Amino acid sequence: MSQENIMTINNVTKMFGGIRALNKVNVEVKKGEILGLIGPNGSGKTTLFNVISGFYPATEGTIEFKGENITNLSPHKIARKGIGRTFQIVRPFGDMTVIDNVLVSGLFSGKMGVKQCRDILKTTRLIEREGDLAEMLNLAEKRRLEIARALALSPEILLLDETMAGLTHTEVDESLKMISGIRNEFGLTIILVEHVMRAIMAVSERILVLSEGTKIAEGSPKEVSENEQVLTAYLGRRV
Amino acid sequence: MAMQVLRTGLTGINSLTISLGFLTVIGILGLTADTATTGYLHAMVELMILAYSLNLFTGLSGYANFGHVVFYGLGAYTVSVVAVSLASMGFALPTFMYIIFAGIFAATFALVIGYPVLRLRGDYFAIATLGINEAVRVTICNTPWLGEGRGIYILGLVPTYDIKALYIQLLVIAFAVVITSYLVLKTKLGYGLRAIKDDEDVAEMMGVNTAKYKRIAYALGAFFAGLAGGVVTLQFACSFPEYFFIGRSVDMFVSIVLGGTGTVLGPMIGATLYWMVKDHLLISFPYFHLIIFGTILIILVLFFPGGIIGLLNRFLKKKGRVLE
Repeated sequence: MSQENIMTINNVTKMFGGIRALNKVNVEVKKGEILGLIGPNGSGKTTLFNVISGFYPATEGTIEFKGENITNLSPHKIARKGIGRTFQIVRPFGDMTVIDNVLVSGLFSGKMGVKQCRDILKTTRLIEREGDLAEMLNLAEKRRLEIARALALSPEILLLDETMAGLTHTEVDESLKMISGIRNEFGLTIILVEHVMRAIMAVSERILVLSEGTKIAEGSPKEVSENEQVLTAYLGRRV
Repeated sequence: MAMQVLRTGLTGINSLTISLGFLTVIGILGLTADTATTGYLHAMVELMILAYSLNLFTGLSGYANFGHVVFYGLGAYTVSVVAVSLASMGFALPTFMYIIFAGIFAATFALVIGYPVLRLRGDYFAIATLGINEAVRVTICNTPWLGEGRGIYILGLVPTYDIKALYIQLLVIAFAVVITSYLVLKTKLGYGLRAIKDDEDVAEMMGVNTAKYKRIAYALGAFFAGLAGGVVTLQFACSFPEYFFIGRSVDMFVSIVLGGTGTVLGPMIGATLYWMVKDHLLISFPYFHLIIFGTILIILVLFFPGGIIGLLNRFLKKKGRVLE
């Protein structure tokens, strides 16, 4: 794996009024890696995703993608540049069919037609449900649909926001297999927010820990899980 | 924009063919019938065009536009202003040219006003559209060169009162708006708008330039409403502030809800049925027709949110087919 940076997050701060949701976060994302992002509830993981994808403007700091400054571009421009994402609470286009959901991002990224979108549905095991309305899918399928929709942007970075929350044990295993699969098949860089520790430890090559908007640790899954500060953030101070 | 027609899912029944066929039948009926029948069908086709024009924007994007009638009124006034100005210079144009002017002016107005207004969402947008309509109407009522409350008369300046000739022009517009609706629904623009209707933020993050696509649809709807307004001025040889009557907006809204919003066939079925039922109720129950109509509407919205098309699709889907 090359060690070239695909995205650099420099000193990003996000304020909501007086609340500091992200505090001078620095991240270097290496091309082709799976980067896990963990932290207790409210630590700013989803906010970081929202700032990267342009949904929230950053209060301070810059985000560079492939050497280009993409801070505060409109979300559709960032998406077309090759940053796809999913949502913590699933948000498929419920009144549209599964294939049409995927086709929206395929068409608007200008990179895919009906045929390529069908291929993505095969990869994400949704092809049998192609003609069904998205709202008819079950949770696991909706989560896969969100991944499919992001893949149709033919992204270089995929931001997965808790794609395994609420899934059964078997479904988590299948999902893990699929994430590694799509990384290899599409040559993607993946940033993964997850609360299912078993999953994130298994799949990530590097893990970044946020707590109250600040980065408190970074390293291999083993290093992070033994880090005193991380244990404190999750479990409280050792007595 | 790539005008690639996309085919996905169930497309067993070609709604475009049905719509165009139905329009042809109404067209032939109107052209061969007596003047009274032509007048009746003329008004019906006009409502159809307005319903389609509203459907292009509201039906697809989900933005409730209660002030759509403003484009109809502006189209009407464009024709009379252009006709009066040209006549003062000793010119006259073929009638269809006036109508095209009406469409272009309405669409331009939509592009400009759409810039601030389309930043609003939900109820705020709906109220703003009502406001725009009132603002334009009141401005006209207080502007001397726009005839204030009296309106602008163009009798003798352009050929008017030829109901059959106007009917043909109206039919051409109707064919155009049906085909446009089909193309919009089946191309990139339609996919973008449907995504916006479902979840605008997600659409934006999936690469849809939501601001741009909303404006395009808003202007497209305004264009066809403007054309219909142009025809009405030629029909009555004048344009009044009454053309901005909000009840007209309600007519269009009910038509698309009745037929099925965001579909190709819906506005046609809705407008036809609405026109016939409304007319019938008005004659049979001159004092109670609005009460009866209101009741029917409430029942429709409560129990059949997808309109007639939605109702038919419940049965058709079991057979693997679907109306669009």
